Amino acid sequence: MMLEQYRELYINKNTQFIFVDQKGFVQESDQVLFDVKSGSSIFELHPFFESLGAIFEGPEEEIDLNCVHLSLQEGLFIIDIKILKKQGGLLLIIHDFTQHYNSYRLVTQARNESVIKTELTVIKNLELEERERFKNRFIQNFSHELRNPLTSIMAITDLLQDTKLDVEQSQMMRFLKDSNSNLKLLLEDILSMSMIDSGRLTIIPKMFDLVDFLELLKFTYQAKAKEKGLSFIASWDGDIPDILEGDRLRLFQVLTNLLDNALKYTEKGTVTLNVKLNQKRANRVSLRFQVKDTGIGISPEDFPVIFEIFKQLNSNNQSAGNGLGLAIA
Amino acid sequence: MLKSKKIVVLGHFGVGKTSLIRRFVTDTFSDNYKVTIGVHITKKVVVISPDNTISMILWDLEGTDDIASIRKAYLLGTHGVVFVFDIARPSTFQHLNDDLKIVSAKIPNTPLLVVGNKIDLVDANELKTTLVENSILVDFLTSAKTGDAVNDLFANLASQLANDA
Repeated sequence: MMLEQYRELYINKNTQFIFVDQKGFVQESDQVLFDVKSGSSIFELHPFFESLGAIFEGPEEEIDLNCVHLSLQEGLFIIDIKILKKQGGLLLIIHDFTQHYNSYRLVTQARNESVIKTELTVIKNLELEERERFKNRFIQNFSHELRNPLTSIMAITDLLQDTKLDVEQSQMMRFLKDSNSNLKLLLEDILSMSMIDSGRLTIIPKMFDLVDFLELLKFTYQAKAKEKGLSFIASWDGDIPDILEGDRLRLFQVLTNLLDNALKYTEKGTVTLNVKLNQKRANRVSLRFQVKDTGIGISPEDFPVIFEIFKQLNSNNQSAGNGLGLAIA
Repeated sequence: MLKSKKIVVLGHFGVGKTSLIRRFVTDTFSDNYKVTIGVHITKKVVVISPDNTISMILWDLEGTDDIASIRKAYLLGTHGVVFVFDIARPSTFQHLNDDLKIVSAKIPNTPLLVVGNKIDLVDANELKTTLVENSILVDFLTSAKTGDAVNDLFANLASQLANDA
């Protein structure tokens, strides 16, 4: 008895039987799910039933269709339907699985969205990589192509300098040499940036004398600072190792970029380079290089962008460079 | 005379089948992707000529990346097929010719239109390259978003079906 009640509750209340004649007119319906008037055309109930005409004509005796959406006056039903050819018409047995299919829809929605999102991300990444490759190839070729004529110009400039020049010509020669050097540095920076971007920059560790290296920087930048009426102080801890294994060239590139930048934006006062020993473990050492200046400084809100490529905070500054220095550093 | 014609709209999921039908039937579009499960059926009456009107019963089938798995019962009594792929997602057209062979085998001797949808997402040159590189013979290039060629597509199919007995 109890099972009968459950059957009534969970099965019978979700299943409707409709019998239609061969022209699609409703002969009988138990109206469990929705009202279908006897004598009305089932074809007019919903476009789905309009397709039943073809089933009358087909050879199939029994057809099962799952997950059919019917939007009716009573609401939305998602049904499984069994269509049976009987004497004089069709018997339609409709099971309402709206709740079940709505849960399934959520799972499918999440799965499909995830698959599509992944696919579009992969496509986007491939496009970006291709663009990046093209850009890097272009920059590398471009830089190489420019280097050759520049080398010739520099060589000819050197030859020209050894000829007899008057005061005005000597002055022009100095400008020419400065411009050549700047252009050469710019090309090297562009090439370095492109190699860093494409992951092709190789760090080449070699033994070098760190103290000699710092002495060289001190000598060079004291001269540069003096030219601008500034002072330059270089100091380092006594316990930093003399001999290190590392990429001296890249360390030089990073520090000169930072120091040039400090000199560029300091009109009065001092630029300082300080090197400290952070820690030493086994045969590895961690050093802290600090560059300070008494220039205009950087406001905290600009911190996130200062290492961006071609980003210059003071683009109207006459001494502004190419915007690559800090990005490389 | 009003003739009912069943049209099934097939293709991988997320290619815009539901959006194409919605654009054709109600001239609306939504950017929100809502998955279709099972089948949604809508209808639009199309007047071909004063004495030739057809009722297009559009069966919007759940998208699948395995076209062979589509249940035969959904395809019974089909008069026309629209096969849709997404021009911006290669996985939906990489095996297009194989998919079309499966469809033709399941629903033989039935008019079939091949539709590349979402043309608003790619530029014209990219579109041409994609079609040539993948040896795709397409009947219509559409955008459910902008409405480009959507009515033309269904009007073409309606004309073909109206001429059938």
